[in-house]
Amino acid sequence: MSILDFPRVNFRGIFKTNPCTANNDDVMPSVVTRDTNDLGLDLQGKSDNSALTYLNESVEMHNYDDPPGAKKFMRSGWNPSGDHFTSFENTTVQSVVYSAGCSAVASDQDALVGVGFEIIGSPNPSGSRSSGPIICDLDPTGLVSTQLFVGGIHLFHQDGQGNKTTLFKALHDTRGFQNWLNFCSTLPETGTQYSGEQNFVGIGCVWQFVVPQDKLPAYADCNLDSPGLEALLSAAQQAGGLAIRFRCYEVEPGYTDDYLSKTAEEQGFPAPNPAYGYLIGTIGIWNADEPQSETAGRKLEAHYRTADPSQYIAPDDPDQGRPSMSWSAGPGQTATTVSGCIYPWMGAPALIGNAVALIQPDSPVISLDILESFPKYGFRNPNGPVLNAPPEGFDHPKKKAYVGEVELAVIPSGGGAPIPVADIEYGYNDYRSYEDFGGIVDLPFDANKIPRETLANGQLILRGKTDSPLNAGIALIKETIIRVVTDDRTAYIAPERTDYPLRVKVYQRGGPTTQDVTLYLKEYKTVIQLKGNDTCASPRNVYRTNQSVDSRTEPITVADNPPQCPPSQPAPNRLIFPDSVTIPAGTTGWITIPVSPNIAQDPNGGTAVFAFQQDENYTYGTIPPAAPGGQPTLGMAGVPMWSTKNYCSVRVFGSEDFSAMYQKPGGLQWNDVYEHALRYYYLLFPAMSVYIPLNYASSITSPYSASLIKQRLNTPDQPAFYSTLNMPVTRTLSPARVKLILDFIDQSQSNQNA
Amino acid sequence: MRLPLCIAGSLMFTALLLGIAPANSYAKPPHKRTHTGLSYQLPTALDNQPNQQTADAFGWQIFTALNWPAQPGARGVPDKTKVIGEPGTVVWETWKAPNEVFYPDGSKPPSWETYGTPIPEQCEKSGSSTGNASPTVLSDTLVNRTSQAAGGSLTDQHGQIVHYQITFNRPVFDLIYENGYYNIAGQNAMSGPVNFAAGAGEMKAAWRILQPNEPEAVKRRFFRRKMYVYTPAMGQTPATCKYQEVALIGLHFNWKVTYPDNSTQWIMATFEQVDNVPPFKSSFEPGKNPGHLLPYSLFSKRCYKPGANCEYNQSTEQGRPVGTPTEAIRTVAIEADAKKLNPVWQKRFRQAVAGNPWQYYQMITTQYPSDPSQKPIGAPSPAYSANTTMETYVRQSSCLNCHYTARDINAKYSTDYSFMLAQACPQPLFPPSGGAQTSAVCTRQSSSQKP
Repeated sequence: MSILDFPRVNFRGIFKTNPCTANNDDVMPSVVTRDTNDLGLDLQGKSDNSALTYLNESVEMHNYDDPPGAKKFMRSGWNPSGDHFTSFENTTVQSVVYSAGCSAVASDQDALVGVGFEIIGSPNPSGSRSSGPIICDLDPTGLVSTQLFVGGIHLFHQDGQGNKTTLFKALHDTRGFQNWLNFCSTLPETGTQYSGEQNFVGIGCVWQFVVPQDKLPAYADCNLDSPGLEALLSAAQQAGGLAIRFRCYEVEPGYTDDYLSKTAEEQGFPAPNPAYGYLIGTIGIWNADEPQSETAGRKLEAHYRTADPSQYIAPDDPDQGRPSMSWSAGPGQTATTVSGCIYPWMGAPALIGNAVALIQPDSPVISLDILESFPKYGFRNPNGPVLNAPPEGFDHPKKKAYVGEVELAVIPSGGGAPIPVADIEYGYNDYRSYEDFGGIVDLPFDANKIPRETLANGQLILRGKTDSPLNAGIALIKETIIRVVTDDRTAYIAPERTDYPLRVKVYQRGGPTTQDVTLYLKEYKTVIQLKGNDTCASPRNVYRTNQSVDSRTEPITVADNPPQCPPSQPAPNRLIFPDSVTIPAGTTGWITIPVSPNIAQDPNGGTAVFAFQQDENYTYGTIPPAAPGGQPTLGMAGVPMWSTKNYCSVRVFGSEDFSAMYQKPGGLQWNDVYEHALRYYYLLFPAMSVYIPLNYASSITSPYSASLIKQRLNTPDQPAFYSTLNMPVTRTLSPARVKLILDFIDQSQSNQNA
Repeated sequence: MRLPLCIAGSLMFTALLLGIAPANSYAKPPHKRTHTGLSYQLPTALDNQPNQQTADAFGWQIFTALNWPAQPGARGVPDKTKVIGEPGTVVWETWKAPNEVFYPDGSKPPSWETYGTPIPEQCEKSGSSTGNASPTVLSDTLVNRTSQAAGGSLTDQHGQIVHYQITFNRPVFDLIYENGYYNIAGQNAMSGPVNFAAGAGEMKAAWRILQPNEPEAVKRRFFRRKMYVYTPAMGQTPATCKYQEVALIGLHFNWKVTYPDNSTQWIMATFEQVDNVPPFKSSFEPGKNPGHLLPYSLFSKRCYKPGANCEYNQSTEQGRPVGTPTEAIRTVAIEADAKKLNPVWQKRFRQAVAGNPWQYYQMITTQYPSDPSQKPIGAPSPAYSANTTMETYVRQSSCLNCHYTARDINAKYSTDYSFMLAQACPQPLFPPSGGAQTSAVCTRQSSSQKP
């Protein structure tokens, strides 16, 4: 079972997220020292007031200038006032699918249609207003994985005044992880350049998390007469629980950068600037032996260049295996042809996203999850984000990019020409159905023409039909026969930890493997960079480093990405791990790979990406060696693994010794605690200090603040670390620094009581 | 006398033009002077979906009603025969002070109407008594009220430490009193979060000590009082209590109201005297004279001189010596709608009473939950709010966010945006001989557990 099985409940609405951006190093690398909780060069030596003023200053950006000098960003990014809360807005159930071809799309067909749905935060033990879901990167200063911490789900009725009546609530602290983060989720209209404010609006990604059956209410306790809800809960109780899988895309800040800068200048602080995007999703069934973080089934993905040319989708492509794809507004319209995404971090071929297929066991139907597969055409705000009324632009007409007439086909196990299975309406002709049914299509096939065995043993592909006006015969995405998954998408590892268990599982065409599978384990600096010299700046520095503000109107030059960046002296791995692991054929359970922090050689810790590769020689995100033994070149030419693969991101906390601070007369001193544990957050996460000002000892040691901090400040070995209530929400405070704060509070309280 | 319908309608139209919620009627006190739009009535509900303009108007209505002269002999009751700005103790001054409710030994406080509090011996020597009116002593035995909520003391341009005063109204008192939350034992028995009813209110005032040689042209612009000003021991300087004239420089109100969706929400309005600090924009422009003829209470004009090298908003917790004048500047601008509304209300005060000191006060913000469904606080608007006299050293502060963290003395339950309960069983500044209290009702639970 999976969300591709029945029944399913589909929803759509608006995705709202409010992350803090002040320490995103892709925006302003010299504000923070990468992978640390230390301030960068630009802030060192500045007083708090000067640093805050500096962060809120507006500067010209050199690589988005059109005309030159016209574009300004704030040093602290598009949302320095963000608090990381994330929510579903105006989100309602659109349909209930009981079985293939049998569904309800109106409330008089099933009372579940039209009810509100939201994700919620962990319950607040103090009884105050509940928290909300929290979005945060494993490492906000890098390019690894984004997480969405969730405390539960809620179905409700809402009256005209906004009052909610709970129909169904399930509480469970869990996480979703970004899947398929891609810059081509929305494509610009032909001839336009708009890619949204901050140039990330083309991004889309899919999240999934589960609520286990023991956390689900009985249907009898739900305040709704709905056969769909009854069937869903009944199936979930018999299986492992519910899976909630959703896509957000075209997520765009409410304010333009210029307006944000203006608010900072006029008010003294930048206005909170949450981003809003489209939201489509499905509540379905989850089996306990399935991955929690992504949909089980047969996975089709944008194929990537490998060391084996026969694995290319388009081996004759002059660009070393990138399939050239075209899109347009519709048949007969001028097409744009690319060999990859035209946007920042150009990764090819990521134009078409992943899909997952399930051949229904009881009927000649293939259920295909194409929620993330086909890009939208045109941005809802072609003239820029709206001010003050963020949802306003959501009324803009929506359509899919036309990528031709598309079909599902199967390449027989013995090879040969693909056999068409079923035509796919991917939303180009009927966007509304794409939205209302969670991006899942149930495709009937003629079992007499295509035996189940052919489907079971072949390789599924999505391709342009041979008579398609566009992309005729081109395989857009292709089934990966051996699929590797992990639910340990992010891991926080204390420096003293050994043999941290990373779990992986392998499938063959969605089922057990029939041959041994060897996985080659590789550590990357980020999802797009091989490990290299860590002193190198991010390839996407939009500011020139070490320059005055006034000179930042110049284009990027080699000085921004210095030639020493290639790993002439590769940094040591952050993790100690085996080179490879071989999983015997037929293994169905999770395989544990022990990893340990490489503290001896890398005492400062940081983040890394851990990939499970089937191709020992392939390197994600890099141009392969020109000759055997040559060095790969950092660049954007390869396929970012975030576009296709299931990988693990790890944060290794540094091994820090603060013992000298304890030896001072009078014990711990406030200045030390502030400098080493709190100042970073005071300057870069101002949303924290509106609750408890972090820049004064008396503020954090007052009775109520101290108790609150003790409750909320956790280390990764404590379950509360993974609730939405944990502080700091970024979860970047090392155990040693957590201890420093808690010890200082204890010392202060002890002194007060003496 | 009943007004003709057309005139009544005209008054309503005028009120609407002035941005006043029509739900709050403007009962005309029996008084000769014109005070259109001024009322002693406290609003408790919002009839329409609040926005910044209505919230700001609401804040000014709270300000007016709570600064209205109080009826003698009663606590928290306005004198309907007077108008704001006329002599007399104002309403919030007759509310309960924390030291009237939270005793160091945790004993049960007297009822609402009864005044009385332990006072420092220095004040007793100065002639104060437990008093039959409030306040008699500016400061109390509970906490060092020379410290701001987030820490640090504020020193005015005369080298005098700014003092703070807190009071709360009867709904707050009743909940504390009736549930026994005035001591730790009562809070140990709590079984759930606190939820104040609509109409609950709290107030904080910031006072600076006036100097005898300050000109009347300066002093007349303040709401003034003569009080026993207690200053705790600082370093080698012993505690003192002096009978002095003080001037109100900051005023902050927390008020719980009913929203149109019938939920109850806190609205927090904060005000300052207009001569505190330079306007926001000029604060950052050394070399430019702001054109303010009178001296600022919390900022030296020498800082405008090029090369003055003033350290702005430096707290005593950052090493600035106590008693060294603080150079305070406004880091968060006066909220735009409040800025438009301020002259309207200042004019009303001016017209109501000649020389009315309240005309020299300005709203900085009224912060309200703009969308209560947004977790966890309801999307406070504006996002930041800072009173220069009370949150001098917090760069970006927010009343609602800060008060959201309020918990009981054991930090177990939410206390509905009120920090009052955390003051139970305070350490006395001047403990009786024998040392600190050891009362059984002042024993805490074991340390709080993680959630």
